[in-house]
Amino acid sequence: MIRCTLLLLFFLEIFSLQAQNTSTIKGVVKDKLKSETITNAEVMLEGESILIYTNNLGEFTLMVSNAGDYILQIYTSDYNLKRIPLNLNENEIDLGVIFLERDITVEKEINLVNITDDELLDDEINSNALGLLQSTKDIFLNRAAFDFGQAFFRVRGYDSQYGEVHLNGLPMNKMYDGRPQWNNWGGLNDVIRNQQYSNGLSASDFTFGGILGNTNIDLRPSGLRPGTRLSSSLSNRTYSSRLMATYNSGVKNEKWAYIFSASRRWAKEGFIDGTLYDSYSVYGSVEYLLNEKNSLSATAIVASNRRGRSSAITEEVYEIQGNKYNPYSGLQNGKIRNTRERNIREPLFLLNYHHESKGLRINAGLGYQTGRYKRSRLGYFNAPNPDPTYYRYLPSFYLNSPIGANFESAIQAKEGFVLNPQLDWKNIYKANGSISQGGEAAYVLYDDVIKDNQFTSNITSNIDINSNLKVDIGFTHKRLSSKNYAQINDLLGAGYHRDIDTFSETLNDTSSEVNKLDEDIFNYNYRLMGSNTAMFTQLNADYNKVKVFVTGKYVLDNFQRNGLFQNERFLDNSLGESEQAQFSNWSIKSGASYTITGRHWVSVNAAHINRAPVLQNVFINPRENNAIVPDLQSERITSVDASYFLRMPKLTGRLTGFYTRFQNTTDVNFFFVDSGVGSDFVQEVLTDLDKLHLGAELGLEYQLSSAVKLSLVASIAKYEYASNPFVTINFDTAGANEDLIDISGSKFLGQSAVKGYKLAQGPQKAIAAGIEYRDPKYWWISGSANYLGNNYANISTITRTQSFLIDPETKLRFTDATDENVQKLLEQKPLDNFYLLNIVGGKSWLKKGKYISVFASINNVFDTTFRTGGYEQSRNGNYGQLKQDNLSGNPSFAPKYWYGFGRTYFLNFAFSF
Amino acid sequence: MNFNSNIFYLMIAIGVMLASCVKNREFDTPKNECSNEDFTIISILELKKFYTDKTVQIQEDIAVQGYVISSDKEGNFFNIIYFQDAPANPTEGLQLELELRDSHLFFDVGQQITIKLKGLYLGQSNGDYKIGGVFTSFGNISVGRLPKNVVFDHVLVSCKANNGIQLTSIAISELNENMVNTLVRVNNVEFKLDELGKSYAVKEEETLRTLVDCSDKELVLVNSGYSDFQSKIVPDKMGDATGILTFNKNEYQLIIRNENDLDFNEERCEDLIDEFTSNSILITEIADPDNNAGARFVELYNSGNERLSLNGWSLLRYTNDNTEVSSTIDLSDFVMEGKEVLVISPNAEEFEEVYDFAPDISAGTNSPADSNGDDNIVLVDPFGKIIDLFGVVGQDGSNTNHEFEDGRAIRNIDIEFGSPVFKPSEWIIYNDTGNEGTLNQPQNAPVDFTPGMR
Repeated sequence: MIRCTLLLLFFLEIFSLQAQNTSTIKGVVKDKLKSETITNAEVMLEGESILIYTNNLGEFTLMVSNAGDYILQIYTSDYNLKRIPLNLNENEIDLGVIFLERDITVEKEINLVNITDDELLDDEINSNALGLLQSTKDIFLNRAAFDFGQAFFRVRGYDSQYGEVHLNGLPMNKMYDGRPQWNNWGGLNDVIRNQQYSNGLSASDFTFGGILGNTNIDLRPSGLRPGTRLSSSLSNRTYSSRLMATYNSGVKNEKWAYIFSASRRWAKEGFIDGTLYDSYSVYGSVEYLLNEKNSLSATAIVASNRRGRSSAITEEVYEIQGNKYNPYSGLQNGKIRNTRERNIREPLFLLNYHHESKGLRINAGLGYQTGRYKRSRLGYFNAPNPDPTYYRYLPSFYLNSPIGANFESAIQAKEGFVLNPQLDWKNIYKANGSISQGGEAAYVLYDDVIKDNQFTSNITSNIDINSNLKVDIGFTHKRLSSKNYAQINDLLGAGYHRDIDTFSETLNDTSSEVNKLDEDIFNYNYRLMGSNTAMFTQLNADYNKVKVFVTGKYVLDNFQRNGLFQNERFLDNSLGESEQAQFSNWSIKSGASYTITGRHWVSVNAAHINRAPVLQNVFINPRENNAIVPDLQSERITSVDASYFLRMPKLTGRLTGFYTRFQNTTDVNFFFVDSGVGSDFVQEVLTDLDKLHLGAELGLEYQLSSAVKLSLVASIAKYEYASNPFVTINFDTAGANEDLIDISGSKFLGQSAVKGYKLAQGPQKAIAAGIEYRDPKYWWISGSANYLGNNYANISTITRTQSFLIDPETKLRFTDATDENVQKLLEQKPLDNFYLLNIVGGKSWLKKGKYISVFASINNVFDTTFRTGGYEQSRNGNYGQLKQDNLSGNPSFAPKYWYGFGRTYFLNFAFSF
Repeated sequence: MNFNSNIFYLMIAIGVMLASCVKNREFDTPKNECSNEDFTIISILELKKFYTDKTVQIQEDIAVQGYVISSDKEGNFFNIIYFQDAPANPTEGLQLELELRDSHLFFDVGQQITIKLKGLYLGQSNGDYKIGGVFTSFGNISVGRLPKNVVFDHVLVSCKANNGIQLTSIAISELNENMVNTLVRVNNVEFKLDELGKSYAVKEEETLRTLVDCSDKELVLVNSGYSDFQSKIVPDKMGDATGILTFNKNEYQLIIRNENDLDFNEERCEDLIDEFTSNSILITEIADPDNNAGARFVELYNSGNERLSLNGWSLLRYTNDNTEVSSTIDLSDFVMEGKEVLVISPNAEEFEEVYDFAPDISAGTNSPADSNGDDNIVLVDPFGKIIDLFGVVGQDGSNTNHEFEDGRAIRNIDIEFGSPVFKPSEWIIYNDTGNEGTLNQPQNAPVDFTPGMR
């Protein structure tokens, strides 16, 4: 690779020998209202990569070798982007004083995270990466974040693990699922505004990056506006109230700068019933400027986020209870109590060194993150399922009875469900106190706890070899130790919990006392260890009309499990260390852009990436044993995108086409299934799974007048399964009473015929048209009409294997399981397409140097009901049962869906000085 | 911009933030809810009168009360609750069908419950009444399980303290129809003989077992093949059985809640038939060696092909002319295989010294195996019947045809059955007198004797 790089360098040098004619552009940038000079504003020619900043007096001088029509762009945060059309012809242009207007819509950007963190509500769907897009000025990405976000739109259909988030250059994606955990810095909107984003496959100067895009959040105080900012918000989305306060000292005595920021968000109940919200975040950072070139900073972030979770529900339940319904919660002594709370508190400590001199930039950092991630659950042991939506409690249970529909009971069940929709805490206490239990718990509220300790070190440096060539190199090392266990939170009136597997009557831990008390660790207990070492190097060349980059990456990953319980169902491989799962992978990415004129340019990028599976897909059943997915493969991603950019004085836009193929991916799921080969609680391992994402993105913005702006964006894409993966199910073999599927504890089911089925990666078609009006009197309003379509629920893979056709009674193929009948039964239907109207507006005042603003948004103005996603349940794993269950049209094990929020508002008051 | 005032604002802001609170994770235990509402209560008997000739839905705003007597903890009851009208001396009972597993967690045995009847169904079959939801099949309606979502609206736990159920013991013969659907304790019963050694129930099948009392009155015990104790072996003793009495197919049946409902600690009414008689057991050799009184023995033989337990058997000695038994050997512990001999010695040590093998039984001096030649030996079966006899009881053997003093009495080889009357012709007898067809030919051990051989 080094040789190739040298060769490329050589060729690029030849290009640069061509004669160049230069034009000079000069100007001074000032605030329109206060007439103060603006320092550190970005000045660039659109379509070119040279970027300069205004000096202490607000002045800039840009020298360019291009000729023709160009647009000069001046931007600094909190101000409107200024675009000035120019004709360059080896001349010297003095633009004099250029006034920038304060961006009165800035609150919208600051509050994006609160708007989109609705989507981060649940772990199952916490795969949305829209927080990444906060600072982007790209009209398509902007709309995707603000308007499509509420419908779980994913840019290019990618999971958030394909986008990297860095804080001060340190990578923040989790080893467990590859995703950034937004809650680790949630609520600190004021201090995470300084972001550097690279979209898609384009080059990023701090990382090789993922295929979705990469963002680096610069938390250093010197990069943020000094002053104090207070804000308070009201909403009916995930939280009802928020308070935020930030103080930035600015650089003092040219030596010190520090920031302190705190926020609190809370709600007794969000839009969805029973979803409490209780969060606080504190941030402190101090920066010491050694000299003009070098600085050191120390940062601490403590963000605690506690939420009540909600459940996906079947259409049957939705029809009865509506889109706010949440079966996880109920009243206890008149107070809402949710069985499934999620509580994240993973404080983060960073030490950073930053060097910047002519032609060289170095960022080095050390990070340490500790803390815990708890999810509570209500366990039941030889007791009725407490979930009010359990299939035996619903009307459909009576309609789907194998001995004929029982309509009277269905009506009775429905009436009862309407009267008693919530979890019944009183009965849970009653059961735990019942005489026959003798103190033994029938129900236990417990936490699944993950206690991580992660150490991260990182160094990147950006070296300008000459005015045309730049080299970026980086090295990262991460080391994770993750303790995972279940811990009793509340015995709910019982005296103890007898910790056995109630199905097989076997011990979860052979060596500890079987009866557990409050706060005891039980059920499972293990440690996961992971290390990740990555190196990347990137060469950027920039010549007149052509820009090229090439990046290579080499990564070593190592995963291991250490069992702390000896599980009686897996006596031999539950306790102690597992084998190590080791991976070494290389990746390469390259791109080129060509400037046709200053107003039109094109770019093409391609990447070939090999990456280790994420930790959660390495072990088959880590709660119980050390088994690693056999023949575990690294995932291979091949991706190409091509874009056309348009920068006319009034019309700007981008059109991009992309094609991405994921190969050899691995996935582990678990569920109870009545399959053709038998019934059990299984871990399903999918291997050799390929996925295809292809489509086009369009973003256009038209400045109708100085006050009115129109926009049109669209994403038309196709995300589908591109192979028939292999399916193996795993289960325990303990308990003589069970009819085992296979004595070996696993069964290979062959291929799952899913090729061509659509992926559940959000709407595959999204179109938005928007209009924005900015009044000279400092108020603004904008509206957008959105159409979202072709969204699909996640399919069950086990029902697409041959085992689905087998009658578990006779062990023969169901006679009526003809290809036609099976196809009809397993057909994938899209979720409903829908329209959403969103309105956003605000007003701001400047009084005696203090800035006051109000911002309000109303989402889903027409209160449209829509499903954002869902999944097929895998319970009906054989043709006969699925057919029977579907006869009434109201299946007991129907797909479960998440329903989007109805009409919601967000109101924010900010005060800064 | 005043630095201090900024800090001041900040402190205020933080103060406000921390003051705003969301419910933490600590919750008070809810009060045990019970119902003291006033209902129009009718008796179970009155309720049964609502039944005419088919399953009916109760439309009136009425309620029935009762005390829970069943429990599904061990899985012998499934989706059903039995209750009776009083904790002691009930007069009526009823069953409620409901779609709720592990209902014992919510309705303790002995707890008074109030059932709001409006909307519930009442049905009857074979005189057995039940209430619940509805089950329809081909247009016919019958009582089905009450959907779970309405169970706690209809079945309320009353505030009355749970003092348990008081039981009075009765015999099977005292069972009557008023006791159906109530909890009864049936005394002095045991599992029928041919069910000993079997499990409570066949896996996943409802299984009927039979209880009997000492006068052979029977009561069917119904066990679920899904119960926790399904695979356990039924107890082989006798005692009291507690359970819910039901009436099915014209017979009473009992359903227990768990194994402890069978309080079987006493011996069974009648012993097992493990005592058997046979005339294939006979005395084949009696020895009083001239040279060694310590080498005396008696040999028994089983001429049959079947093994036989000697449980209850004994060998008696009537010394000299005694008419009372002088000594006895209890043979209960021994089993004789077919065509096998059993050697009994009064002096095992000497016996082994002389004959070079150990006797089967060591009986002690003065035992029936230690006769000096003028005594009478009798083999008696468990039922007191004489199976075989050597000599004439009441007659001293000296100088008779059954004297074997200093000699030996050996049964003819062709004799296969014992004889309750002494037949001299079946024997060859050696002694020191030689009267009445005996041989005056004193015998010496070991050469003249054949213990253990037939």
